[in-house]
Amino acid sequence: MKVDNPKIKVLILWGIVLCSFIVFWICHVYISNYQTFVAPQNYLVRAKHYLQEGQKEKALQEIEWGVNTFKPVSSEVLAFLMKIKKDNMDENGYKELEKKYQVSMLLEKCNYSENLQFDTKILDASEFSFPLLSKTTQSSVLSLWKLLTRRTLRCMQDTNLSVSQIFNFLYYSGGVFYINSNIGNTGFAIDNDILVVSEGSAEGSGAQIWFQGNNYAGNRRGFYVLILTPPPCKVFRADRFDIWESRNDALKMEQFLEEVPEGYIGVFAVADDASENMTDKLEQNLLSFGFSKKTYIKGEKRIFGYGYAFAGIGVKGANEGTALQNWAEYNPSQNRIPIAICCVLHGRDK
Amino acid sequence: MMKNQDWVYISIGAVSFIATLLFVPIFRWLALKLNVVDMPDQKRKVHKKPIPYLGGLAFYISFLVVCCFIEWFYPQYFDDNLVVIAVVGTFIVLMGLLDDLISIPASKKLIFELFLGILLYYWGFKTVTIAHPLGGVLEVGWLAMIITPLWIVGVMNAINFSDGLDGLASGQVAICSATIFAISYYNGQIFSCLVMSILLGCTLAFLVYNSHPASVFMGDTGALFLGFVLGCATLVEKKKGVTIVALTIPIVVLAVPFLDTFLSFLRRVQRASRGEFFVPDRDHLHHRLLKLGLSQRQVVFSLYYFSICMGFLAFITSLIPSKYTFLVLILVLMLVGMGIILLHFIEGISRKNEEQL
Repeated sequence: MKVDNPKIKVLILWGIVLCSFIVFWICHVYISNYQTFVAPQNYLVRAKHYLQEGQKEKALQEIEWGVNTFKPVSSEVLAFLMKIKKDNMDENGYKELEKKYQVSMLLEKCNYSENLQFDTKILDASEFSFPLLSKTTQSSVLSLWKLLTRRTLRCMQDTNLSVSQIFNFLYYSGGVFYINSNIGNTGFAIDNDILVVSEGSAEGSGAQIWFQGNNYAGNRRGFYVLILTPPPCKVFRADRFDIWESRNDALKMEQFLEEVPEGYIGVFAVADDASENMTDKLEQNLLSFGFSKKTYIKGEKRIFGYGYAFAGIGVKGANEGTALQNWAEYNPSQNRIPIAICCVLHGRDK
Repeated sequence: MMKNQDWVYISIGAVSFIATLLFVPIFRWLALKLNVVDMPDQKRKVHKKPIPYLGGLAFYISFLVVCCFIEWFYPQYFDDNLVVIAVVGTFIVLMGLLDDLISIPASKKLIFELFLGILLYYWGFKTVTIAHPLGGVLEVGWLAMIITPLWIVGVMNAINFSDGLDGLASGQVAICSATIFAISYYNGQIFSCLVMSILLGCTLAFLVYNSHPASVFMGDTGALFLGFVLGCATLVEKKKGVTIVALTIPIVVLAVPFLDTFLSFLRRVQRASRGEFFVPDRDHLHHRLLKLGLSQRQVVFSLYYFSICMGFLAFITSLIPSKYTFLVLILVLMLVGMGIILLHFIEGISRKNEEQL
């Protein structure tokens, strides 16, 4: 086969290139659809697919797994959960879900609004009942809310909420609360209230660790750590490590956590980011407080990722996965600061 | 200890290497069948017998294969920018083929390349900062729309100009890719590492066929595509807070091809009054070194050596604070200037010797 006409040669070779590109494009679309379906974070896509196929149980299983793995939970996910659970859920449970949905909608709107007007009544009646709080904790809650609305939830800056409304808001927005003095399932309990707020990557984000009326965190970037002695809880050590800026701080934090005696309580809050220079050893040291890799980042199980908010209360030496932890994903394409809240409440002394 | 990510890069490089190794003979065979060969001449070309083109098509097809490989096996590392490169790269390859078969005017080629550069800008490939002449970095703002296409076109043509000797362009791209890979790896820039693994695999495999004496050429298709991918990979960075010493490092890495392009540009400006701006000549660095009596292999290896030195310098640049990078640029300019003066000096001695003889 000898082709002498250069134009025909061009046509043949262009044909080969275009055919290769078309094959590539078909493969890309096919693989992309497949990967979208199987990617852990796309649990909603899978759940919808299962529901369409009439596999309601599987859809419910999938969505519940997703809600526990990827945070913050979007209003779209909660709406789907409401739809799927409507028929087989008790009234209180459904109301709680509905409120979570309403608060989630509020938070999503909050990204685009500086001053959000909303009906605070949705925070009045609560399916979630927390114990009576000491005056110190009540004042801490008000300070916590003030800082949170000044820095992050700016759209609610002018909203006056009572302590119980604030608690309801924090709970419905995805906060993790233990109201029986227990630190998760570690088997350890406290004799005081601890409130932790972490704000992930964004301009001006910070962290709060409230204990006995004092805030042991601030608005400087890094990993804030407060170590408490076993009950009667007293402050053992407190520090901040800017793991984003320096690997040296990660090494210092490794050392810091290693020196904590077994049975001591560790309270952790990330401000902005604490993953950039995270070492394997530091991650192991965090796991030794009972935390576990509960979320997925790029297909791998991790405690938290780049720009994530992370708030946790654990006990040195506790079994992996038993501590109290909460996280929120950082999504640079969204104008939303990730917030993670967790609290252990002891309540007022009798 | 090897991380999971390291295995990802290794496997991507390996797939790219194997794919190119397999595709090059196929396109060589096709080039012979279609009689797409580069005939020797007494002007610019240095080879003595007809050599088939189309080796460059193997880069393109391998790139597409590796993209699918990444998306299938490592979806977490797959980036939509790879698809953008594949789409725009297709236009580059089509243009390169047209130029290889029925040579198109350089001015039209340049306009098309600039157009593709602007297209890339709108698809998110852009540099927002450049090295400040007095240290640190400078926000370029809307000028990014001009700098980005110029950068892409500059890198593409620099690689194309250096494709004058067996194994020169592919070897230089391999050295540049290895350097940028090392810098990106050190800074945790995943996308750049992925693209550089692909380029490294492709070019090393191509060197098996393209080293002196070459059995296949990459043609404009290959050189432009390699330059295009290299240019694109240096423009993408999503990570917050990481100061990319924008374009400084790639400039240092690509110092040899850029120098050649710059000198060629100056010669063309001199000839512009005669209406020969777009006419190629035989005064590229490799031609001049050949004229001094060096063998093809010696010229290629000396330019490799210079590229490796620049690679080390670029790596060091990436480690120092951005406010000092301009010092490295000055050092590079001084080295390059000294090299040009030395070359002129040696050429002068050589001419005198010839006249005496």
